[in-house]
Amino acid sequence: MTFEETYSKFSKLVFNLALQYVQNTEDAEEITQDVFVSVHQSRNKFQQNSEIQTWIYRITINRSLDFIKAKNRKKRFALITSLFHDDGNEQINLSHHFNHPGILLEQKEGLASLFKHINALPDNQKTVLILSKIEQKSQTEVSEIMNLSTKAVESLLQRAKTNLTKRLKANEGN
Amino acid sequence: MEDFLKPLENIKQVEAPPFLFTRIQQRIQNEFDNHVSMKLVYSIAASFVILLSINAFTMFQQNLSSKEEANIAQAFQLMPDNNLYK
Repeated sequence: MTFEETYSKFSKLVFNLALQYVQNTEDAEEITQDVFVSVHQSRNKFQQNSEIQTWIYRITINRSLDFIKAKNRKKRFALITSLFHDDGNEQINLSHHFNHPGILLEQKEGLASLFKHINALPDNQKTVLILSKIEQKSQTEVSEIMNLSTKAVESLLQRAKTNLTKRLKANEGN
Repeated sequence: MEDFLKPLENIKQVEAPPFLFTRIQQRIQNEFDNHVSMKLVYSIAASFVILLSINAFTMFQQNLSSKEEANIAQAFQLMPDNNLYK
């Protein structure tokens, strides 16, 4: 399979998965670029289609999580520097801008609020939730992508749901 | 209990922007242009090591020959410098 064919086959998958993590078109585009540069560098390693797909899922998940961590670091750094440099002219815009093209306008507010809580979950719980609830993957597929047993995936999903319920209840109380 | 997760199932899959492939190709090309081959790095390092070894060898040889010259000068009672009026 040529690089162009690989891109045509998996670009939608990568872009959408990245979108579920960052909920922002520009950031998802950047992650998609990173993923395909890596795919280009290692394209000779994989022969079978199923192997490539699982690897692309893994690399997209890792790149998305790294991207979020780097963005949070930048935010913290900007906050610290803003305490010492009181420059009113220069403002760094690192706030999270919810811009998910796969969400209908009437659901945007509700889902933005739900994603705020999903984003606060630990990385592996967030990944299980995204793969099984948004990407509609079976537990076997999720366990293969995450390199975990199906029992571990089930337990992570359960914990994610419990944590989300707690967070939503706490939010309602406020 | 899972009702609150139901809206997640309504999220639509969207197409990746059409210009993205051109951007990726451009990035790959830029990385290729800026790539320094390991062959070049190793050959420069090897040349540097060879140059240093030749330098050290020459210095060692010079040291030996100046000792020999001093011995000959002493044996024939030659003046080791050009100062005639001591």
